[in-house]
Amino acid sequence: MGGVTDALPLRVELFGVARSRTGRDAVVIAVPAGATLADALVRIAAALPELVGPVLGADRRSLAAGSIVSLDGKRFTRDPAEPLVAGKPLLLLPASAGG
Amino acid sequence: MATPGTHGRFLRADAGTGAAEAVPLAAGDLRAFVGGVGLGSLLLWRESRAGLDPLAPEAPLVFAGSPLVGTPLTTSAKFAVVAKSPLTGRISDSLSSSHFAIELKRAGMDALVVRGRAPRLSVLLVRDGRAEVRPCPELAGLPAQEAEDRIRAALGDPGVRAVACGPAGEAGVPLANLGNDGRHAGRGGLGAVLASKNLKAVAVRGTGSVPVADPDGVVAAARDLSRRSFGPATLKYRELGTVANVLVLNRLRALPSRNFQAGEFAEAERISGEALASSGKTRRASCASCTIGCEHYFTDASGAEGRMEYESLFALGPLCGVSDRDAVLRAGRLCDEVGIDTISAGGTVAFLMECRERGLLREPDLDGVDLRFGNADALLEALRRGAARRGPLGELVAMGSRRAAERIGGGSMDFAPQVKGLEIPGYHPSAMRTMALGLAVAARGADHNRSSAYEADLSEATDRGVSDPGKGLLAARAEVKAAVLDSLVLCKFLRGVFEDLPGETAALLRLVTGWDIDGPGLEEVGERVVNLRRLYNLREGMTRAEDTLPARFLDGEGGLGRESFAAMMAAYYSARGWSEDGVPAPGTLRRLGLGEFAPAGKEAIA
Repeated sequence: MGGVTDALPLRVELFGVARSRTGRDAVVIAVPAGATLADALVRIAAALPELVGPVLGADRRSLAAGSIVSLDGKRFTRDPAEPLVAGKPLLLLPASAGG
Repeated sequence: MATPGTHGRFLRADAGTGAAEAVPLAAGDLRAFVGGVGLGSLLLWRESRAGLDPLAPEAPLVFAGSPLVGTPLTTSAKFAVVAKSPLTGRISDSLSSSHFAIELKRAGMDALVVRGRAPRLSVLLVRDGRAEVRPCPELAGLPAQEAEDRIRAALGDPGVRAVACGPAGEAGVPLANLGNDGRHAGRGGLGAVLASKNLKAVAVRGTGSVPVADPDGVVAAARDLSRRSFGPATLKYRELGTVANVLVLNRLRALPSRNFQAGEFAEAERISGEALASSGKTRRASCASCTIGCEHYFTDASGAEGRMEYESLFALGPLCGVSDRDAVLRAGRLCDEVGIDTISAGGTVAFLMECRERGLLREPDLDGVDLRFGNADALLEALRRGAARRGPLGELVAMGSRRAAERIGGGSMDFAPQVKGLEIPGYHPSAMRTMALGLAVAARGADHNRSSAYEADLSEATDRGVSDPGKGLLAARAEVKAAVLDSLVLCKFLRGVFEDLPGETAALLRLVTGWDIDGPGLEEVGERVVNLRRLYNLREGMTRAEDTLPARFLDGEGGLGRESFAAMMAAYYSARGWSEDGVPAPGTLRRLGLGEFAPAGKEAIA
């Protein structure tokens, strides 16, 4: 993981339980260049610890069962090893959209 | 002796005479179709002939339970209502939940088939397998829930459970739904089918029980499933309900607005689930035998309370350009009171709003109503008139968007938001292309519940914005998964708690019935159900031309593209084991044991 000097801002948009539990619609974290989803989740957990359990896994590096992320608004993943997409916000979403 | 978890029979009741007979259900048929949508589809096929008018007295209306009903397994108190749709002319089924399902089981039947026509408005009362028809002129024009309450009061028995239509059903509106316990069997006009039999309601009461194969195993499994149902996989439904979808889909540009002219709604925040909850959320409730509790109630400024779900919210809000929170809640309550499907009602009004915008509707068609996008008062008035078929505008709303487009002309069919005559639910096809395919091929018309292909679009499995043939297999799999849950029947909101849905749910079915069934075996049931529903539609005259989307979603910038869509369709047919004309191939029918349902005549398999 990179140091502070090569950290890049990443906007994380919060939806569903992530939003209702935090009362926020977004958070900005700093991630190193070439970071993976796990890197981002660790930082989200640090910024918003109330999400550990309901949205983030207890290991803080994975997603809880009801959550998924979109890397660019089109592609979705739950894989912590997935590289982040530079310049794109990370969307933290409910995994199911059934109505 | 009947299979554990079942009675091994259904009740065939005549609304005209009150006569009823218990008809044996072969153990093999129950094993092959299980219950719910599967069993209901089987009985619809067998209890009707091809070409029957869906509102004819002899047209069957099927209520089907399942082996799991009445067990302590969470979300298992569900039943299917199946009939030929007066809106689409194709198979229609809707699932509903709660006490009616349990009472049906206790009353001694796996399913109830209603035919005939009462001489005047009546209630069909079924008690422990015996039926009678009771005239009920005093219930005319009442909302379903009020009718249910009055039936219980009149019988002096709070244990009676009823399914009823509202005034829209009595008016013959093909968008009319059925209500029970505050839930709805919503789609395809099943309320009009019930009312066509001069029945306001079907009420059931039972005192029996059904043994299961492994009682201790069922109790242990139920405890485990309940515990898991409190986990993060269902948290969205428990904390926010389905209304949480508004902001998610809006961000993904998949929230249909202004009759699907866009996938975003600038005022989505105003009517989001979060906005509803922040001012006037009153309580949460659940169906019988459910530990999730997804029902969320909200109040408007007047203090009136109503339940709201995503599909109603999208259809009565963004789809009509309405961002007034209270107006959307009022519109939802109005639909429930008159008994009409919110998706079809909102979709049809939105379509008429666009027709007006394009100059295709004028006075006197509009009958004094300023039917513009965003005009909440006009939405409410159009719904009122539609439910009563009052005036020219009311007739247009009541007939649904396809028939309205046929009447209006002027190319309006290109943007009528329907497939096979059923209005499209709240997922923009251009932004979710596996779902687009699922909507195009679904047996009952544009359908998010028998397809669930939106799950693939919002997963790692595919790029939702690309029209590629790989979506054919994904759409086929999504239908099988839905058919499994809809035949068991278990609530789809539970699906996230399973790591191996077919395997784990087959294990539940084994405990209840004693059947030797595993995950692949249960998936084969799902495939069989999907094929039977297809065969029913073919019998009713459907051709592959109906497996399509409105031109709006195929052509031009942002459309799926006709060539790409055709390739997706071909891949879907191939994944299904169907011919290029969309007919199940002989080998597919043999494999699934569906030989007796093989198409005849011009649809015959080559």
